[in-house]
Amino acid sequence: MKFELLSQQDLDRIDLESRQILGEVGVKINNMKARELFKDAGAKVDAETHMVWIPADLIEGALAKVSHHFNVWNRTGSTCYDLNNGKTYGHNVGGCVRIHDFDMGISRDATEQDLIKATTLIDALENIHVCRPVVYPQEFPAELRDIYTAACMLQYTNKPYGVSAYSLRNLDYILQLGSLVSGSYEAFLEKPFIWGSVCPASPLNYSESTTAILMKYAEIGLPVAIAPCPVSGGTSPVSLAGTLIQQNAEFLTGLILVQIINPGNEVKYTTRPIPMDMRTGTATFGSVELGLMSTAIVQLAHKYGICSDVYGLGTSTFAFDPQNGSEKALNALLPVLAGANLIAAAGLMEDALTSSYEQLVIDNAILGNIFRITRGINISNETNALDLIEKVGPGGNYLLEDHTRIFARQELFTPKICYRSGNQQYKEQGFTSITDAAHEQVQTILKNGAVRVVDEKIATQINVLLDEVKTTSK
Amino acid sequence: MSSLSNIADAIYDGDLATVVAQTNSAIQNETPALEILEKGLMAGMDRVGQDFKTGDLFIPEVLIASRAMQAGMEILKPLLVTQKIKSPGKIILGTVQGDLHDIGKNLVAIMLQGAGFEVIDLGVDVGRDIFLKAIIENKPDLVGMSSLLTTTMPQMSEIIEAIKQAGLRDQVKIMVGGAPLNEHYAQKIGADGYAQNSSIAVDLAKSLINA
Repeated sequence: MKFELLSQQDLDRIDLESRQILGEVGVKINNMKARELFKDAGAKVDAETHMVWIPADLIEGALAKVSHHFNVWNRTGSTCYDLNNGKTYGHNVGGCVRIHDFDMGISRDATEQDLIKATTLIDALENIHVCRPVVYPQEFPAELRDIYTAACMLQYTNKPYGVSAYSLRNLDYILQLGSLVSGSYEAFLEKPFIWGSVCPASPLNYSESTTAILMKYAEIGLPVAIAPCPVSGGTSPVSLAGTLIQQNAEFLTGLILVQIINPGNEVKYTTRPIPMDMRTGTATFGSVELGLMSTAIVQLAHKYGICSDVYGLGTSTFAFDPQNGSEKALNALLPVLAGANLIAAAGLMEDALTSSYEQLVIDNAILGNIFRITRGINISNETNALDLIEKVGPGGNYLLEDHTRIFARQELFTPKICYRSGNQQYKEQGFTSITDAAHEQVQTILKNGAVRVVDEKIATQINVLLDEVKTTSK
Repeated sequence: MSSLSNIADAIYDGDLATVVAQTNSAIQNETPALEILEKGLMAGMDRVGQDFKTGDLFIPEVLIASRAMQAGMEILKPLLVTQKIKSPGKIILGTVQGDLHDIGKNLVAIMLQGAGFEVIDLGVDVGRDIFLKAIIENKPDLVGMSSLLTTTMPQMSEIIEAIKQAGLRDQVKIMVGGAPLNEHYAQKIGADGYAQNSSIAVDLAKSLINA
C-alpha cells in the first residue's frame, strides 16, 4: 500500500526545476568557510553578495554519497533505530511556548515543570518513538533555552531526540551534556541518541550561525535534520508547487554542504511547509495544504532514498473540538499513506504556539489508528480463516474460538481513550469526551511525578555544568 | 498458599490444564474446597472482572478464563455439596420470541457461570409459555431476557405480564438486556434491572439476589 500524490513525471519536474534554481538563481550562504568549501567543490561563489551557485554535477555527486540510513540510539545504547527502514515512527511537536492547562481551561506560559512532566509523559506513550522538547519554558534565559531544554530531555526520557542549537557555543555545551550521559565524548559520538537540526531562512538563505552549526554536525558525524520552514505566500510562492521547488533547493543546499564535509553523513528531509492564512498573515498548521505538501516531500525524500520527517498532526485551533481532530487526522494520514518515515507534531495545538498533555495522549491514539491503517489487511491462511468458518458453520458464533482471542489484539486496534457505545467506564467516571479520558490517562502516567532516567551522579554533573553555563553567559 | 495463587493466575490466563492440575493437587494437599474456590478460582475471576471493566481484557480472553473457571468448579462441586455450599443463585436466560441474536445472551450466560451461578439457558426465540414452564420447573432466583431488535422488545413486556398473571412475579427477579434497551425502558415494562453489558449483568444479578 503506497499512496502516490504526485506522478513520477511531476516529481521529476520538481526535482529538476529545484536544481535549476540552485544553478541559476543561487543560494545565499552567509558563512565564509562554507562558501570556500562550496567553491573548492566546484560551485560558483560571490564573496561580496555571499551567493553560491551550485552546478548539476555537485548536486548529483552529493545525492550519490548521502547515507540511506538515519540511525539514532536509545539513551542506554541498547537499541539502534534506523528511522529510514520503511516503517513509520511518531514524534511530538517541539518548542511550543505555551501549555494548555486542563484544570484552568486556558493556555499559559510553559514552565520547566511542564517540560519535565511532558517529557516523562512522552517517554510512556507507545506511538511517540522519538521526541523533541515539547515546550520551551519561558523562565529559562532566552539565549540558553536550547541548553536548558537539552538538560531536561537528557534526564527524563530514554527516547532519541532532536536538538536545535542556537549557536556553536551552545552546541558545544549540549555536546558536553550528551557526553556526561554517555560517559565520554567518544562514547557519545559512537552511539548518538540525538540528531542535530537546522532551519535555513527561506527564501534560499542560510545564516552565518545556522551554517556554522550545520557544518559542526557534519564534522562530528551526527545525523542531521535539514528543516526548511517556508510560509507559502510569505517566504515562498503561494502555489504549492512553487513552495515545493524552493524548499527542495533549500534542502539540497544543506545536504550538499554536509556531504562535502563528511561524505556519507546521514541526512533527514524535515521540511515544514506552512501555508499562510491570507486573512491574518499567520502560519497555519491546520491547513490541509500542509498535509498535501508534506506528502509530496515524502515522495521527494524517497526519490533520493533518504529519511523523511514531515507534518503531521497539525491543527490551528486551541480547542479540543472537531476542527482539532479532523485537521490532525487528515494532515497525518496523507503523508503516512505515502510512506513517511517520521510523522511529526503530536501534542501540537494553536498553530504550534501551544502544546498540551491531553493532546499528546489523544495524538498518541490518532497515531495508533493511523499505524493500524498502514498495516492494512493481512491476507494469509490464518487470517482468511477458511477452516474456522467451516468449523463454526452456519448459525454458530466466533466468540469462543481461540482464533478470536489470538487475533483480536492483532487485527483490531482498540484505543483506550476513545468512547465506544457500551463503554460503561466512561459514564461511571463522568467523562463527557475523549479529552476527559485523555486527562485521566495523563494523571495515571504522571501519578508518581516525573521520572528521572539518569542516576543521581549524572544529574548532579548536569546541574554543575548548567551552573557554569549560567555564570559564563552573564 | 502459593498453589492457590497459581490457580488464580492460571484462571486469569485462561490456562485450563493448569487450573485442573493445580486444583487437584490442592485437594490432595487437603486444602479445604471452599478455600480453593475463594482464594484460587474466584480470586482469579475477580481480577478478570476488574480488568474487563477497565477495558484491559477483551471478551474472548474473559471467555477462556470463564471456561477454565468452570473446569475448576466441576472438580470442586462434589466437595462443595458435602460442605453444603450453595451457588450464588440460579438463573433462567433466554432471547425472546422473534429474535435470533444471542451473542450477548451467551456472553451473559458464560460470565454468570464464571461467577458461580447455575445457569439454565433456554436459547433463542423463546416465547412466554416456555419461560413460564421453566420457572415452574426450575424455581430460579432470577429470569434474564434479551432482545436485539426494536421489533422484539415489546415481547419482554408481554412475558413479564404473563409471569405476573401466573402469580410467579414475587418468586423471581427479572433482568433485561440488549443493545436497544435502556434503564428507563426496563423500569417501564416492570423489570427489576437492566444491564448494559455482560460484566454489569453479573454485578446486577448479585445485587438483585442480595436485595
